[in-house]
Amino acid sequence: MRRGAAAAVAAPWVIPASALGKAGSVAPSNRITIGLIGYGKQGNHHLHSLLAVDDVQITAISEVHRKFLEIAVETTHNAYGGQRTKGAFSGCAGYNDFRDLLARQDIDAVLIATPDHWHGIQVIEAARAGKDIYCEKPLSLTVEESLLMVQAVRKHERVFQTGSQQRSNQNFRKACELVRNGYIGRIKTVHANVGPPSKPCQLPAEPLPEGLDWQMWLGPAPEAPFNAILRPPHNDTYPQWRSYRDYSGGDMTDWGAHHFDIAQWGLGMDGQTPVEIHPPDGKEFETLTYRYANGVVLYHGPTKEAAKVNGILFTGEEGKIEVNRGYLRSWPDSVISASLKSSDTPLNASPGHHRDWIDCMKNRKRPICDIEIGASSVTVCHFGNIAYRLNQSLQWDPIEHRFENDPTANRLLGRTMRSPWRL
Amino acid sequence: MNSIPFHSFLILLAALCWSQAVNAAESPIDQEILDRIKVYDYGQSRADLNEVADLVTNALEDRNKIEAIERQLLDLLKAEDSTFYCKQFVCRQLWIMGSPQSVPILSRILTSDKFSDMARYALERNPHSDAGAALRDALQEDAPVKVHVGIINSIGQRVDDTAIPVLAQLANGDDPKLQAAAIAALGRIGGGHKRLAGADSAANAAEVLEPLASEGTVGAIDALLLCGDGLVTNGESASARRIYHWVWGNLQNPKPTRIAALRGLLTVDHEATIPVVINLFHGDDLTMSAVAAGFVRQLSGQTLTKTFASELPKMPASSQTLLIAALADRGDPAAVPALIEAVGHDDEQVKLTAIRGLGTLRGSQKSILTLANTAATHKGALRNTARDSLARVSGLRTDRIMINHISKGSTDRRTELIRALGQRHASAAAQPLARILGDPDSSVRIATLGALAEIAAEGQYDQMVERIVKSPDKKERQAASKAVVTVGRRIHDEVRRASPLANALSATDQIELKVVMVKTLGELGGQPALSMLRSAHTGKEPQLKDAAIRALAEWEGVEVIADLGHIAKSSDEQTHRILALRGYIRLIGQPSDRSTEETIGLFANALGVAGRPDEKKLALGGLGNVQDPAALKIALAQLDNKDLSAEAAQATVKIAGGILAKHPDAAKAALEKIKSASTNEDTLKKADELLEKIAK
Repeated sequence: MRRGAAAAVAAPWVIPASALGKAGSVAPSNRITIGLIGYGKQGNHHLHSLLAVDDVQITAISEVHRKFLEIAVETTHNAYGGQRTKGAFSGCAGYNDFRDLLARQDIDAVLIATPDHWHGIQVIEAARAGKDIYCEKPLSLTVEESLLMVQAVRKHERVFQTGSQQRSNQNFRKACELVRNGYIGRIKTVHANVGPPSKPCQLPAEPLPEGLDWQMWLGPAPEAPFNAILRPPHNDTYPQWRSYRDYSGGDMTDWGAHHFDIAQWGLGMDGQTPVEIHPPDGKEFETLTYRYANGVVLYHGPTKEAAKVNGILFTGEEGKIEVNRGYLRSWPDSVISASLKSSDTPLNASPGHHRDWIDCMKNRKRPICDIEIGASSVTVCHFGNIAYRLNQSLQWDPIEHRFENDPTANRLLGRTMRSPWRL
Repeated sequence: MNSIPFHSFLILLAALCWSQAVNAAESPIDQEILDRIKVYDYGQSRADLNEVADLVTNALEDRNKIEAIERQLLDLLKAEDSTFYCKQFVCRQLWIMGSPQSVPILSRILTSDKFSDMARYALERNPHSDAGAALRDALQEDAPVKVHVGIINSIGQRVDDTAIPVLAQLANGDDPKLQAAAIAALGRIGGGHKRLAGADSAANAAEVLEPLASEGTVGAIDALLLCGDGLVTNGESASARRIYHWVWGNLQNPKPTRIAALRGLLTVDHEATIPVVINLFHGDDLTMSAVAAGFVRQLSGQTLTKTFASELPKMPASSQTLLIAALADRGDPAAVPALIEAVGHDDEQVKLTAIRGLGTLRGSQKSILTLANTAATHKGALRNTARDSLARVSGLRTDRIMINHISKGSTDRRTELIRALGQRHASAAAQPLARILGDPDSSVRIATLGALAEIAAEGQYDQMVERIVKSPDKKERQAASKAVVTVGRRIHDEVRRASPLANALSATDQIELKVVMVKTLGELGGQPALSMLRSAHTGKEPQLKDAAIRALAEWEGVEVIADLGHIAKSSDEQTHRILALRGYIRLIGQPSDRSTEETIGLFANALGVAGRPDEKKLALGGLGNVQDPAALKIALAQLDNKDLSAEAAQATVKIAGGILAKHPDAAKAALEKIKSASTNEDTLKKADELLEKIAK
């Protein structure tokens, strides 16, 4: 993009005056052009949200099911219909293969809402293509993917938002601010209540729906037959690929990317991970237990000391704070009504998860849930899954990015991809 | 019959046990399970598979057992009649536990179009060198391109530097898919972790990639940059620098790769690259200016902050905006003077960014006063941003600087600083602010009351109550009352909370002031305040009585229900009756210790006392939340009243829904009556749903 006359015809995403002020209508040349990759239930939510935003424009969509691709493109054309007649919108293109979308030079950014097993490849390819990125949580399928994704995004100086949108919620931020500023004293434990790991898939083969490119849906995952549970015939329910190991880490990563993420935020552990992981053994470890290098303990789910925990419970030497969607409470009650003092350190406030990403694309800041944050939070989840899978305690070496003296666990840090896919 | 001697029997038994033990050790998986797994297909029960998977997990520490399991699984893999998903299952297990003994068998299927991906699944993460050799050897065999691509990918993933020569051939070959895979693998090897890659691997891979990158071969520059990173890790910065310089300096190279190269240069050639970054702000490519701003955020050092800041005035406004935001994010107060200067810029976007930036850096007297002056002398976005920055600006001395200036300068600046102290919850400002409550300037006093509402404690409370008394006009008196209520509610001792107001109330003859005191007491709450309201309500002064009744009607506790009931029934003033009845109905609906029967009685009383449909509707609305057959009867009784029939029907349905489990007959009868009496679609639909539920 160049200043002056050329700016009107080139990619317009850097800090137009109208954008930071957020006032008035936005000229077409000042809009960020976005490509949507994946149009399932979550992609549908993102599409509708972004269609309502003035300073972005959806100009391309990729989806492996032709029926849904057509719906998404038509939805976009309808939403921008008025602009099209005024010449402010030149159409939204549909692609089966995301690589065709990434090859377009006129697209500034991509929003990735595909199943988890695709995230690593698509994020790295998007970064190499110079796109800014919003990627749904959980960030990755494996620890190694996360590391390579961080490298690629940093290497190419991309703005990246992980879709762990609880970071943009006031209650979660307030809980973490209070914890980090010592309002319940030194933190001893955190409980994060999320579901179990994924399991092997055993779904029977079903007739392949017309228009679905099943091989592109599977992508790097092992060969498996189509079943509508994995790609339902409609977009109004969440597909259950999340339950299966080839495509996801299960509830452990799906909700862990929210609740463990908040635990990490509250503990000030962004970019870091626990160094010990212990599966439940019926004796010393009641539930899956993580330990950080500073001694703080993080539990997966309730324990005797916190049997009814829901969401995230921080326990400090002087009180407790529990936060979840819909509530924020504390013991004593007075903690949550406290306002931060001028000597406290507030956490960055996000104006909304999409808005934050868009603003950061303009001013080149790191968003509220930057890739390194998303990577460390999902790594906590992956560690848990590996410990459950092997039913053994693990020691993590954060310098070498390996488990200490545990070649079997280290094999599970990554996963082989079907040809021709690679990271 | 000859009997077997006992000692012979023992020997036989021991031999049998030993044989079984040996068999179990050599064949940990039951043969029947293996037979079923052999014909496994997707969709069938995974019970056998899960059992074997558990066996594998539990045997990982037992070398003999895990090798025996592996042998049994390899037999399944070798079997020509085992299914695809059986073989896939075996390879998934070998991913975790495969040893060198699995390699020859996996090699047999590694070049098979059908099984190659799963063979790689088992081989790729097998740490033994035999696995690497098998992958390399497979490249010499005939196989579809897709199979070879997968194998090359696995070699790259293993960071197998012994494969560089064969990858070099493929990278220079004719097949674009093989070429792309080989280039990517060379990048992975060249940039691989030093634990995995040999000392020369980055240099060797780079040597292959450089000519390909020069020719513009797809993916070669990316791969070459990875080698650059590998060279840096190996301490070969000079070679890395050469690569980064070439990629950055060649304007034909794709922009994302040039950005990556510049990042590399900042690592290996930091000082020499800073001017390059600065130049990007002066250039005509805004994308690259934005990238430069990203680098400014990441590079550390106070000297650098000053270097970048000194460039600000020479740049176009768009670049200034980017650089100011980046300087602010560095958190280095060395940028403060430049940002103060930028607040005076002609471009509004530059101004706004500088004001916002000052809010993120440690405050100095000059920066704080600049923000206060800006908030005082501007409107709209500039004022709002300056206020926001004043509330956020950090620094141990910041509150003190603000406090020192609350009595100096223009009125507008003073009020901005006072407001900021309140927003900052600067508790140290409570006493200094209380001292200026008598300031000659009304707007200063009002701003001070607002700030004290946020931060004052018991120590300033009496002075604040005094402001209610001394306020010269209604506006200030209201501000004082509001602040007193906010602070008073933080005082737990109810007597202490009410006493200064009680004293002021008895000490004044001004009826207007008395009214404000009563209103304030009502909002404060607590037993002493309630006693004073009761006393005022029964007094003779009409204005005071009115204020007391209004305060009782708004009271937050259920202890005034009887007072309100009495007023609702017996007051001479219709307005008071209505206000009291509304308060009464509101409070009945709040949680309390009284019995359901009593609550129903109170609602019945409200319906009886209410003279207008509006209050009766309110009462029916509240009654609907009481899940009791007696409440149902009262609601049903109002169905025939045409002014209330809709609300009575809604209440009836709601109560019926709540009691249907315990009183299905009463609920059913009521709902059937609704079906014939109501015309509201929603109500009828809900009634139908509940009747259906009862029928089940």
